[in-house]
Amino acid sequence: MAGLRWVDALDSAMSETFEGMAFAEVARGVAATASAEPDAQVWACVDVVEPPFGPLVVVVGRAFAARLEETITGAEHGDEGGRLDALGELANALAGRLARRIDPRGERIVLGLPKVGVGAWSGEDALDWVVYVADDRDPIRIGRRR
Amino acid sequence: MTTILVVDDSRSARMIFVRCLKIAGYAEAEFLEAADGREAIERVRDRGDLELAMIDLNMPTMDGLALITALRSMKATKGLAIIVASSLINDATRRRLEEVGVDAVIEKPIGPAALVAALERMGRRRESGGWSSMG
Repeated sequence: MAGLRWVDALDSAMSETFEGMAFAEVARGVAATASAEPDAQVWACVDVVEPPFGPLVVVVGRAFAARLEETITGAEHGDEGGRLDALGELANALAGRLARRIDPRGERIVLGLPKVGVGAWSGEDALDWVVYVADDRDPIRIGRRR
Repeated sequence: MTTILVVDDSRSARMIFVRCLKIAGYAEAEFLEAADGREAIERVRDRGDLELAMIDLNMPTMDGLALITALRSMKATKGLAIIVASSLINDATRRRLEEVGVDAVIEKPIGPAALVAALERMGRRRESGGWSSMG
C-alpha cells in the first residue's frame, strides 16, 4: 500500500468523521511532535484487521478531548472515562471510514475494539504520524505503524 | 410508551443513538441500554413491548450479528424492527445484514438526518407489507 494512498484516504475519512461527529472542520496541519507534557494528551487506538492496515492511533490534547466529548455526546462536565470513551468511539468511526476507502470492494471490514489511554503513545518512533488541525487550533495526531 | 433497545459497548455511542432517536421523534420513549449482546438479551428477555432496536456490530462477549440472530429466534423479539449502526459497513456487510433480517443499516458516525431517513425507509417498507412491528 503506497504511503500517499493511505494518507489521501485518511484525509477524507478525517473530514467526514470530524464533521459528522464533532461538527469540526479538520485540515492537514504542520508537523508536530508529542507534547512535552505527556499527561496533557490522551489517545485511542483501533486495529484495522481487514483490510490489513494495522493499528490506527489518534492522539489529542486532554482539553480538546473534553470538548470533543461534549460535542459528540451532549454531556457537559464529563469524567475522564467519558472523554476517553468518546475519543475511542471517534477513532472507531474513523477507522471504519478509512478501511472503506483503502479497500472499497473488500468483502468485509474487521476492526478491533478501541483501546484508550492517558499520556504519550508508547512506541512513538515506531509510527508514521500525520497531523491535522481542527477548527484552526487543536492538533490531532494520527499514527500508523511504519 | 415506545420502548427502544440501544446496544453498543461505547457509552458515548449509546448517548449518540439516544440523542438521535429523540430528535427523530422518540423523545418520550423508554430506552433500554446494553453494552453487548449478552446484556441485551438479558434486558429484553420476556419483554414483548419492544418496538425498535439500534445495534452496533463490533462488541465484546456477544457481537451484533449474534445478537440479531438471537433476537430473531426469540418469540418476544422475532418481529422487532432493527437498525444496525456500525463502522463495519460496506456493500458485503449490508447484504449479510439484510439476509439476517435487519431493517436498516447506518454507517457511523450517525446523525439525526441519517436516522430519520432510515426510519422513513422502514416506514415505507412497513406500508408495503415488508415490515410490521413498528407502532
